Amino acid sequence: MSVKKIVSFIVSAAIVLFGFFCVLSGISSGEHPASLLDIPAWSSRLVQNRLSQNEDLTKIAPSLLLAFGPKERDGIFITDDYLLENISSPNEEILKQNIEGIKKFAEKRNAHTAVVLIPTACAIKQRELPPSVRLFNQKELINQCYNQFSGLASTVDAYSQLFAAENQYTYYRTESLPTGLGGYYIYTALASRLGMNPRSLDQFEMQNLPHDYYGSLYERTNYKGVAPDLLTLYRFSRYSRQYKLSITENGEQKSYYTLFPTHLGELGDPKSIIFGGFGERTDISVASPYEDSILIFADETALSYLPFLVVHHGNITIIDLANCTPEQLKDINVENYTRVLFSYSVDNFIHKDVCSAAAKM
Amino acid sequence: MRFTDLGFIFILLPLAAVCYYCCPKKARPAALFFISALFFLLAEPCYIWLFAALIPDFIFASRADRIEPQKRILPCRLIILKNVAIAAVWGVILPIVNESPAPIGVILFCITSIEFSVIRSREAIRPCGFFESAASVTFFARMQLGPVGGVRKLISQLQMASPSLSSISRGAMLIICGAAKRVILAEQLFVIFRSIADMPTAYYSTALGWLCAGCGAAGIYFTLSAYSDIARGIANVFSVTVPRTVYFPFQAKSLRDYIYRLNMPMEDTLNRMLLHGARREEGTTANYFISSMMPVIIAILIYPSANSLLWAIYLAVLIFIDWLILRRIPVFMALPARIVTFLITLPSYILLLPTTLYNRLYLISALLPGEAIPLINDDAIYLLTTNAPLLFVALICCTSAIDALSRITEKQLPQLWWIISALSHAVLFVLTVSFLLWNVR
Repeated sequence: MSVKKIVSFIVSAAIVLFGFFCVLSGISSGEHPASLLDIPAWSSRLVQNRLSQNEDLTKIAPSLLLAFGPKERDGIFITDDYLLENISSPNEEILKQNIEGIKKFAEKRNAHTAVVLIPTACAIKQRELPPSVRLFNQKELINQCYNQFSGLASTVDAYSQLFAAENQYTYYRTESLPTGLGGYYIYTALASRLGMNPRSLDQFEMQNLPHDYYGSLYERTNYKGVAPDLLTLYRFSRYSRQYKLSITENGEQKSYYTLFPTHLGELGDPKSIIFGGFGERTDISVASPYEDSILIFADETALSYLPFLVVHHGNITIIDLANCTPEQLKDINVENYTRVLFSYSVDNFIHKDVCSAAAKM
Repeated sequence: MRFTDLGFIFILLPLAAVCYYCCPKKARPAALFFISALFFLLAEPCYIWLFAALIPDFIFASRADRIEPQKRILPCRLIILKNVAIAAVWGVILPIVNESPAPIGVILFCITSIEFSVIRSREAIRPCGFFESAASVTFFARMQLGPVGGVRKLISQLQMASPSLSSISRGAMLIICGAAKRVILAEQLFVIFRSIADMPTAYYSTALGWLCAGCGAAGIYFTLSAYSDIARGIANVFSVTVPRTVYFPFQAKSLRDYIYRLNMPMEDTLNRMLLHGARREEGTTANYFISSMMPVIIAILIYPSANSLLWAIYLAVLIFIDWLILRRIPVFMALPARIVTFLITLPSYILLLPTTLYNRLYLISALLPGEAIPLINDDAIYLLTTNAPLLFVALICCTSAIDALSRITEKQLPQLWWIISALSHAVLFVLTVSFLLWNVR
């Protein structure tokens, strides 16, 4: 038999037999196409399931791509350990609206107002990237914005605190948001500007959740080489505290008597365990010697430092100005709060209308 | 369903081939037609009626020889009108309006059917049955950017088709090669292309402009070449052959040759239909007119959009300049002509960049170094250094070097060719599957 025939036979037989094997194993494990039109998806699923079992095979493509340095894929840098999304230049119109919103609020209200702009992972973990990568300068933007609040609001330098801890797990590997530990560093920066003595980290009990967490960047890049994230809950353990958590989301109110309703993790998004997720309005009542209250206008980044901030307050209200209704805004009485904090990630602050509504309050 | 889906490569295609070969020889055209219909249904379930709309064409084709020549003209014209309308509305207008891709295969099937009806009405082909006509026109291998036309040859092959193990394995290798070009080269080059699109004009440099044009050109080439290889591979699996769609356009000696190499069967088909088979090489005004239409048709086939039409207009204008001036300039050496053709056509790919028209024109202007634009900057260095192996492999594969080497080896040392080919395709297969697994979302 000639080489041509042998090779031809092996190639043809290998493909047919592998397909046959995939179908057989799929059918024997109870996987059937739901309909005729489901056949392409079903067949791809069978082959994918079979091939994905070989981990070495799935790692070849990413390791080849990353062999010559981190790669950018749709604005996301894929490095060995992190998925880092570079943020684009600000939308000047929106940035101006957001700054004006805070300024007008601070001018109208005689409340102790503070502002914190939280950098995204890309700025803090920039050493994961080659020096020739041009990143948006978040530090400079934060300084420019803070200059405009001069005399109206206190500004909080979270950037320096986070950057000093750049080698620690302060940001999720698969999302641009700070982790619980990152939240602690933001809290230490906040505490000094809000007139509080920050508690040391050892006063908090750490609980790592068993669920692997994959953030939005994982879904967008589909890069499987990065390790899943770990969700850590920080509970104040030095003294006993009683909490009541009320979340209003899509007009529906839910209440919990814990800061971390762990049962929500079983229902879907493991991140919703932390303060029950992020709604239009969140109210936290704490039975503690502290009577101070704080009104926080924020985005999702606030969830990282809230476990630490609740220790110093009797009442905390978090408002998502971008999504709350005018009626919800009317219900807020700013005079009831000792201090007001505007807290946003740099990305949201320069690209989304997150706090222009504050001007109307 | 797409040809690069894992399920298609490993399960659906082998299953279809087994079913095809299990049928008696006479029933194979019918089997192939039903397989094509099934794959079209799986690929475009909402547009199966477009496939069904071709059935009157096959009835006409199978009965044309029984109708008097004078009476064939009207049904043939009606078929042309119907197919042009379908291709224009569902292949061009609706995708542009809805900013969505056209249903796959619609334009290709319509043009192939028009050509087939024309040659049947001219009696330029010997009589054939309904299923032979239907299977040849709707052969699913050409569904995704595959070769258009060529029905005459396909029918004669279907009438004689007998299974050949070497043809099947050669087909499998071509499919692997095509899938590799699509998922390893084209997709990764488009990633670089898109990342340049996201940059503000302040980041532009001359090197970045050329990199962008190169990535766009190579990305388009590898996409066309991938589907050409896959179509040829599928055809081989069914023991028939279809022509190459694309043939190393970056080595073209003239602008017309460049356009022709981007989709050879399409231009040949248009020449056959409109110029009654006049030779393309004659270079008449009519030939040039067809060449100038080609970029628009290719743009519509790939992705009908404002950007792709702009790219097509750029190339059509070049063809006009070629007809007006360049063809009168004698070419003494092939290499400089190839380089000039390559450099003139390359900027057109910047027009495909998904960004504003101002940014695209600015980047084209950056191709020539000036005081306002740096020769090279950090952004270009980052993209060049981190993608160096990809760019190197793409550069090699854009030339006919590997193809020529393969042909020589196969001719001189056929045994060695089969061994090397099988081993290299096995490696390519592993790499492709890894990339496909990565891309599964």
